[in-house]
Amino acid sequence: MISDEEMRKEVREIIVDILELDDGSKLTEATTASDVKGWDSLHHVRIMLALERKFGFQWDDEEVTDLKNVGDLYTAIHGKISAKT
Amino acid sequence: MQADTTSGPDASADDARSADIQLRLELKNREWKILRRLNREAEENCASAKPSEADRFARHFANVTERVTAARAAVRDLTKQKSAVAQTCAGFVDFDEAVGHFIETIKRGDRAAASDALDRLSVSPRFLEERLRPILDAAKTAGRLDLLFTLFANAAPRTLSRFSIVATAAVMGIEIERRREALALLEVAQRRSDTQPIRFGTMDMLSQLARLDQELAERLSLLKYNGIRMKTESDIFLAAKALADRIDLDPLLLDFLFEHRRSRSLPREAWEERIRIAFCVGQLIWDRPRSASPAGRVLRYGNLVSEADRKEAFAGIDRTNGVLLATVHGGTTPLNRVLFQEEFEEHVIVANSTTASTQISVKNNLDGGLFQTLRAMSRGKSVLIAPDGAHGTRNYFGEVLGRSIRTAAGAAFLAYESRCYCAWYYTVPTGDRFLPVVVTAPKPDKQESFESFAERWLSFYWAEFENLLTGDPDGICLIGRYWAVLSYWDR
Repeated sequence: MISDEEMRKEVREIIVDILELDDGSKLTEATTASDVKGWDSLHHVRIMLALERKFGFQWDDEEVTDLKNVGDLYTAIHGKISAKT
Repeated sequence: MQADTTSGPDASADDARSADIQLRLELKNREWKILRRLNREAEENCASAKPSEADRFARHFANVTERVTAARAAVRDLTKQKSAVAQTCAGFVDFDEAVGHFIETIKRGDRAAASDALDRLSVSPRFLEERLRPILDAAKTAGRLDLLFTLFANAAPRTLSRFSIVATAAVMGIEIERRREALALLEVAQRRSDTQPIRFGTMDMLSQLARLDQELAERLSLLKYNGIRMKTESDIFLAAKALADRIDLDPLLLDFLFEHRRSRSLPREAWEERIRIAFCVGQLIWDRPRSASPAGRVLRYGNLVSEADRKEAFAGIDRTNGVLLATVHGGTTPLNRVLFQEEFEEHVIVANSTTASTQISVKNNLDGGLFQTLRAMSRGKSVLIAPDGAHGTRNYFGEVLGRSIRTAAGAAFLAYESRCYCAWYYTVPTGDRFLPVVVTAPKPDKQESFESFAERWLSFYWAEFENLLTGDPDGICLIGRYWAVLSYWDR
């Protein structure tokens, strides 16, 4: 199973790639979509789909909108990966 | 030499000319103000654009800048024209200024001054199309809704010559529990409309009101469609013709569309008459007025689409990997939906609200709405979406008749991610029936980025819309927003 640190790194890379950020160092657990230029609805869904593909799980409809910040995203992915294994 | 415009046989002609210039000036002034704001935003967006967005933002900024300059020049020209005609005609007012003054008198609770202000305001030709939202909001905040309603209930008869005002006042009266007076106001307006039919504008559809209050909606329907009777669905075109001179359309947009028409055979008057009829067809489709149909039956217009036309339109659709049909918010939207539902048993419709389990709302829930739609597509459901809505990202622009329009890319996103069959879809009135039109949209190439595909897909979508706008006037059957969209739509 992927370590928590690796998972976080992968998540940051996906966000950086889709949002065309310089780097992911400013993405803290408290970061919300509105803190990041360009993290709009479309990009949010693109990020969620990329995460599904990367980690091999499926989001429930509500989960996509319930996430408040990057920390929530880590927690949700962690839960999904754990449930899978 | 200028004619004496203050009296004599030419006075009424001068009054009409002056009214026309005043309306154009007010509309153009509004357009200019909105474009100025858009231009500031576009400049800011350019400065902070991501690399992949830079070109798009720069093009949009250049386009808006050009339109700001053109609008400013038009305002100057119209101001000169206004100065050149009679100044004594009908006491015209600057609409924005008059609204501001009216709001101040309401806030102060000065009934006499507010009554005068309302009377002056109701002279403005722009009062016809405005939804009075700023006035209502200000009155609500100031706790003066009672006063505002009292003013409407006691307004001069000419104020009740406009549907939007009567409807707004009646809804307000019912909301503040003055139902009896609200219905009395409707009766006054109804009696007046027996001799002078009420005038309505581009935003005066009944569909929203029916949800609020069924009785009110029916009375407003009687008022709006006073004297209109349809025996069967096919009478819609005759009914629309009878209504055509009761509506007021944005003259600037009519000028613009006339200038861009593809067929030059019709003179302006005949062309405009057909646009007016098409517009009223759209109103009838949306409103489905029971008052105008036999025994209060709700008329449905699906039978005005022939089986052969229907078959031909949908025959080319490849249903192997799902279907996404992209339409516009037009006069025939309810009909588009019905045909779509009949054609695709397993379907979802992306909408503003969810009144049925087959609808997915994107209002206030874009992330969830897009995601749910994509999931539904992966389960084999066909999707109907109108991506010209005001939702979505700020990062994409369509171009219609040379005007850059900020637009949502949700539909392009769905097409890109699902790789399904995708098409432009619309139902066009043709003067005596309705014709469904389906045009296959581009698919993403194997290695194509989303950014590139979204631009290509949106170009296709808006080109089809442009095709509609420049085509046969019978087919330009659009709802209110499009009478403004090309001038100053920003969201």
